[in-house]
Amino acid sequence: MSKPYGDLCSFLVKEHFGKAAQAIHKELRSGPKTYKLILSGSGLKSALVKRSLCILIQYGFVKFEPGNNPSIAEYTLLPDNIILLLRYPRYLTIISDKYGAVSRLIIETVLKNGSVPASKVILLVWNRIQAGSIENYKDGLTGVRDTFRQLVVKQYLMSVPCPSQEPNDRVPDLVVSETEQFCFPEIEASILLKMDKGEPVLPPDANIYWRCNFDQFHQNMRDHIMIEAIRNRVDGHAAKFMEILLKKMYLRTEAWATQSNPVPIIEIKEETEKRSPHLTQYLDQYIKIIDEDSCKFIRRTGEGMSGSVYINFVDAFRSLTSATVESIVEHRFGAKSARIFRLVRSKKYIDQEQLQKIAMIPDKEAKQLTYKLIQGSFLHMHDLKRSSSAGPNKSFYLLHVDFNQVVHVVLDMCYKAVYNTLARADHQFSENIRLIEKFEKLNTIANNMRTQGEDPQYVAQLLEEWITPPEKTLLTTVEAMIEKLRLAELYLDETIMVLQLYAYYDTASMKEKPRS
Amino acid sequence: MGDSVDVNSQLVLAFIAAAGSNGCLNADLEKGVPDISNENRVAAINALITKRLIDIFQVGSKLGYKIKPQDNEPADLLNADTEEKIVYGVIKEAGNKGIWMRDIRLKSNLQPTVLNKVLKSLENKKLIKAVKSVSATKKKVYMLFELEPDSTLTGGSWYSDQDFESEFVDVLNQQCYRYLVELRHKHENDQSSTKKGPLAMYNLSSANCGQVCKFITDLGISKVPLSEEDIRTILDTLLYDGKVERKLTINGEFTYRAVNPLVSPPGLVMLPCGICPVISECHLTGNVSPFSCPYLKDWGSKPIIKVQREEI
Repeated sequence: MSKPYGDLCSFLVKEHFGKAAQAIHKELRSGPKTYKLILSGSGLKSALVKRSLCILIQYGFVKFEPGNNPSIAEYTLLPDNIILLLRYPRYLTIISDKYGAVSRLIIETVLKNGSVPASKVILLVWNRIQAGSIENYKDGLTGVRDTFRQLVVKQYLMSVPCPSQEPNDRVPDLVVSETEQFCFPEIEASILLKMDKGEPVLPPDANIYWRCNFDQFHQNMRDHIMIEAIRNRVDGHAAKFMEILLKKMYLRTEAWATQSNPVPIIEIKEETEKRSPHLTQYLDQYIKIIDEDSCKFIRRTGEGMSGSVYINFVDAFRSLTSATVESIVEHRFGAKSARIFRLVRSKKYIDQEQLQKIAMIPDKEAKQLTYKLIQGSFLHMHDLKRSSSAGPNKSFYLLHVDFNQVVHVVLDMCYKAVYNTLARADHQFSENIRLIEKFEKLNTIANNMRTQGEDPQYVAQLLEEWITPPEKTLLTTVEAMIEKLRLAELYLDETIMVLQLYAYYDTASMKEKPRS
Repeated sequence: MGDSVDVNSQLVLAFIAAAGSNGCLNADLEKGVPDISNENRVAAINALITKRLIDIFQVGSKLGYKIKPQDNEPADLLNADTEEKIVYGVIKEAGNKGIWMRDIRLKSNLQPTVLNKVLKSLENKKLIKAVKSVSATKKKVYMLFELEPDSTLTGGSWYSDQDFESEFVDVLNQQCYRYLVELRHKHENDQSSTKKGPLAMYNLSSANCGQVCKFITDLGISKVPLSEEDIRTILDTLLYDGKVERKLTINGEFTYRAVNPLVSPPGLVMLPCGICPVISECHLTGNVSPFSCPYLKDWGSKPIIKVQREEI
């Protein structure tokens, strides 16, 4: 875990769960620890530590396992889950686009609670619907339950592992069977209704907790990234083809495999016939174009309609990440530096002089740009020593790009940038806290006056008088700034997502065929 | 006496000439012209060498002679001294690649001061010229006056007076790109080409070097004639700019086509941090910090965050 990454996680924990949780995060950053070590290290009260640990476990940020001594649990941090906090807004958008407002409320409730029993979620969502979150909702309590079930079936929600039944373990072992993971227990509508009225009934699922299956969301995001890339590269029809191909792929391939199993073209054709005549007519040509494009998203085997296509995720994300990194280089260092960067990547190892010649950049400028890139760790130098006993010892310096390292550098940069936006937004807020609090107070007073039946125009006028114009402009600039920083956070997360997917696929493909 | 030297030297010269371009050894010469005494022979050989009719060379420890090939030396050289002639010969050998002063000195065995004088006088007579090489601007190379320097020295079309014309290259780079983009636009907006299918459109919007070269020549932006090879180097820079894609056709030539980038600008560069030159020094405490960052402040007060990229 790099420093910017750890800092960012620490900040996120503090922002969402407060200082105590952050202190525990700090303790666990250096590695797994037992409860006693955390207690003494953090200097907090034992009740607070226990409670904070519970919360972190509930949200999946910390896990526990028996350590060297099997009767004592060791707590381990899961920073990869913490960073997902940034992505929560995006999950909500995805779900509301796909399944509508009720699903969005359900997912929101589950995300807010970390892990939670189904009956509780259903009731909470029902309460919010009744409070007016969704207008014209007619399906009632059972409708919410059915939506919940649908989300489980679609694997957006999954059950949390429960303690196994072996009573001898001092450290409980959490288990969940694959079949039960996405199996929704029946909850009678009558029980829900009773619970809603506040009657003491024991729901049948009190021991089954649910959480969001982030992989499913990531899968959606990944598909979206790929489809959009094809739309950029070729056109809308090709994007539709990609969409169909991905859908067909899920029927026979595991979602996170590095390479899909072949999908027969004839099957894609059947699907396109229903949706787009243009695509059907030129399906073969589109496949040829995407296949031959340098982005290497798909590969084709066999000719004509009897052939099939498969998706190569490793190559696809390598191209996507290359494009992203190249674009970052272009923006950071200028177009000519991007040219040098691409050139070095395509030639693998290249001499400075050769580089100047091919890139068509004056020697002096080329040298300056190259050294700037080296300074930023985007280019690397490889020196070849000529072993000669006599004469001047001359060595060659070859430039090359260690792409994984560059991705690492960019990722760290992203983490730092997110951290900066968060810190800055927080800073803006706390600097102007008095103004903001004053404004909120005045708003509440005004609201109260309105409900008490004062003339709304008179209230608005009063509000104008209470806040001076300079205060108002300051308030709007601060608000705009904070909003913009929050937005930037989301865009940054898009970049992080692509880079993380690349890292995932790169390691996965390495495991399949180890580097010789 | 003078007559005998003349006669003797005629005999010696005839013998050496008969030996051909490989020359003959001193011992052979002794046997070949037995009726000349040693002193006379030496005098004759010396006379021939001063007249630059023969060359002397060494094989192992033995001396040999051969006939000097007669070349058409310029009239100015006729009354020049021996040193000038030797230096001239060395430079002539180097051809249009030129030769460094150091190498002339090694080959001619002349003292640096003498060599400098000789080179200067030859330059004044317009027999040789000094040319600066683009690869090493401080080193001068010499070549015969009438020769055109080799392209490795001048750097080809992209150099004028040893300076790389980066503006010229940039303009060509832009124009080539413009041509390819317009080509693609033309076919994408044309209904009839849309009907031909995506592959036909793909091929229509690609161009090979020849087509681009013709376009550039027709534009008339270049004073020097540009070959297809020159245009290819320019197109390759576009390739490394990520603006075009190159494809090998069945005929073995490359075609180029303007492409859109795979991704729109990533989120990182939407933020000043993404292009911040001092991000590595940025900490919560310290001179560079997100709290006091002027870049963030300016950026925060501007309204638009993400501009949709223009579609090609």
